[in-house]
Amino acid sequence: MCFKNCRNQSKEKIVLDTSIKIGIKFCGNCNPHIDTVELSEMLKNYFKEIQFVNWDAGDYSILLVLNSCTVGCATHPNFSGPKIITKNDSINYESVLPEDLFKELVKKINEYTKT
Amino acid sequence: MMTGQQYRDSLRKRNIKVYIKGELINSNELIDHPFIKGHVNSAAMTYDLAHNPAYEDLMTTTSHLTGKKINRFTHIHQSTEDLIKKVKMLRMISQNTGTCYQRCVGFDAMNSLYTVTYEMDQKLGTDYHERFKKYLLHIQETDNMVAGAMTDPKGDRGLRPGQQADPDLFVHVVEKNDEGIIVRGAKAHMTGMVNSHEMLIMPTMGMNEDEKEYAVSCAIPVDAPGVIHIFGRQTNDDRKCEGEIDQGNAQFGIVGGESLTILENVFVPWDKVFMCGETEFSGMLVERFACYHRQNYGGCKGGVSDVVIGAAAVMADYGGYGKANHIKEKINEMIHMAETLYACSIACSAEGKQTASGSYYVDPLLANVGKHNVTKLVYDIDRLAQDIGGGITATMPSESDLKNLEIGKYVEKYLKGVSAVPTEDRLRMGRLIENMTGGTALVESMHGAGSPQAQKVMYSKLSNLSHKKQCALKIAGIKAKKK
Repeated sequence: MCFKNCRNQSKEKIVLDTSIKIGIKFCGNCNPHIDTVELSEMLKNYFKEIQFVNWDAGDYSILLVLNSCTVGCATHPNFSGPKIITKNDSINYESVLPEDLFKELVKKINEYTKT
Repeated sequence: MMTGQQYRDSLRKRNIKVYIKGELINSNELIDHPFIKGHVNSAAMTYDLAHNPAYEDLMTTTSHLTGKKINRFTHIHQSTEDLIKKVKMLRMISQNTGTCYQRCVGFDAMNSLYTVTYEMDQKLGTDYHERFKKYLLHIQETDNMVAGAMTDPKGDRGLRPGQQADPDLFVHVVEKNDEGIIVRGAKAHMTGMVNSHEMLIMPTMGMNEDEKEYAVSCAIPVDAPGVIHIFGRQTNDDRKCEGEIDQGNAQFGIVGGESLTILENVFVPWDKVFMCGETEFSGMLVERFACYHRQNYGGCKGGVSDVVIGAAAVMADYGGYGKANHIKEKINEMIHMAETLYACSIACSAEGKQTASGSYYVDPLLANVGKHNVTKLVYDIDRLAQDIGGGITATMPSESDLKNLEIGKYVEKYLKGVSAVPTEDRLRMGRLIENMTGGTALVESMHGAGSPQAQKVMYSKLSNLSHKKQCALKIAGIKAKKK
C-alpha cells in the first residue's frame, strides 16, 4: 500500500494546540497490508508542530493505534483520553478507502487538536 | 531486555565446547564460524525486534511475576490472547528470517514446566514450582536464551530405557547427594543449543514407576563442565565457507543449527532440579511440552511459507511467466495451505484453557492437528515452489562462475530472464527457493516437535470418538442398546 498519492490531499491546515502530544502504538505487523511505520512518518512530517512519542513514554493526550491489517489486534494500553484506532481499512471502526487513509487520519487528528 | 548485539556479546563470554566436523572450536570465536553465524543472526532477531516499536506489541509483554516489560520468549502465558500473540509473533519473525530462530523451544519448555511443577507440588508436596519460579525470574531478568532439551537418542526403540544395552541412551540421574544430582546421557537434534545460554532438560517420554532415574528435569548452563556439543551437518553447508549467493539465505541459514549434546556426568544443584524421580508426572510434562511446541508450527512455518510463496511468485515474474493462469492457480493453492497451517495454530490458541497454575495451555487436539498438517502441507507448498521456480533452482552455476572474468558473461547472458532484471537477482531467488524447499529444511517440517506418528497417537485419545458414534447412531435412527 502506498500513501504517496494522499500526501497533498490535506493542504488546508488548521491552527493546532501544539502542547498536545500523540502517543503511537503499532500492532506487531505479522500481516502488514499497509506500512504503518511509513504512515506514522508521514503524519510526523505533516504535523510538525505536534510531538509524536512512543506509547510507553506515557505523557500524551491522544493515543494513535496503528494496525496494519483488518484484524486490528494491537493491544491497547490503559489510557482514558481520546483514541484513534486505525486499521488498513478503517478509522475508529468506520470504513475508509485505503487511498484515503492518510487524508482521513489528518482530519481525525485535526478534530482532536484544533484550538 | 537484551539487544541483538548484547546477546552476541554475551555468547562470547561462555566457555562452551562445540565440535564442528571433528574440530573443537574456540568458544570466543564460535559465533563467527560460518556454520554458526546465520543461526546466531536469526536468534538475534528475537532480541532486536523486541526493541522495535513496529514489532514490540508481539515481541514484548508484561511479566506476571514482576510487572516489568519482558521479551515474550521469557513469558508464561496468562491468557488465550497471549497464546494467539505467540503464534503471530512466530509468523512475523519467520517473515523476517526465512528460517528458524530457535528460541521457541526453551519458551515452550518453561511454560510446560511452570504448569507441571505446580501440579506436582499440589499432589506430592514437593517444592519444584517455587524453585522453577526463581529460575524463571532469573531468565526474565537476564533475557537469556534457553534451549529446550527433550529428545534422547533412545537406542533400540523396542526397548524401555532400563532395557537398553547402554543405559546412557536415555538421560538419567547417576548420583544424588546433598548438593544436587549428577546426570549422564545425551540430547539429540538440539535446536539453537550452541548459541543458547542454558538448557532445560526434560524426559523424552512418560516413564514407568521403575524408571525413576530417567524422570529428570533440570536447568544446565550450555558450558557446564561435562557438556560437549557436536554440531550437525546440513544440506550444502560447505557453501557457507564460500560466497553469499549460493547459500540462498546467507544471513540466517537453514533451520535451527541442531547439535548432539553430550552430558558426561554433569552436576546440577538442587535449586535447578525441577523433577527427580516423579515418574507419574513425566508423561504429563512430555505432553504439555509437545502440545505447546506443536502450537508453534502454523506460526513459524506459516511465516516461512510466506517467504517461499513470495520467492516462487518473484521467480515467475523474473522468468516472464508470472501472469500465466496456472502460476496464479498454484500460488493460490500455496496460500490456501499456508493459511490452513496458520489457522490451526490460531485455533488451538483461541481454544486454550487455564491450568491449575493459572497459566494458559493450548487445545492439545488442535495443536496436534496443526503440526500434523505441517508434515504434509509444507512439502506440498515447497513442491509447488519448485514447480514454479523451474529446473534452474537445481542446476544453476555457482556464484564463482557468475563472477569469473572469462565465463561470467555467459552465465549472465544465458541465465537471464526478463531483460529488466539482472541475472544475479534471478540466481539469488533461485538459490533461496533451493535453500528453503529441500534437504534439511524439509526434514525439519516432518520431525520437528515430533514425527507424524507422535501426532496421530494423540487423536484417539483426544478426539471423542464415542460421541461421533452416538451422533451417527442417532441420525441413522438406531436406538442404542441398553447395557
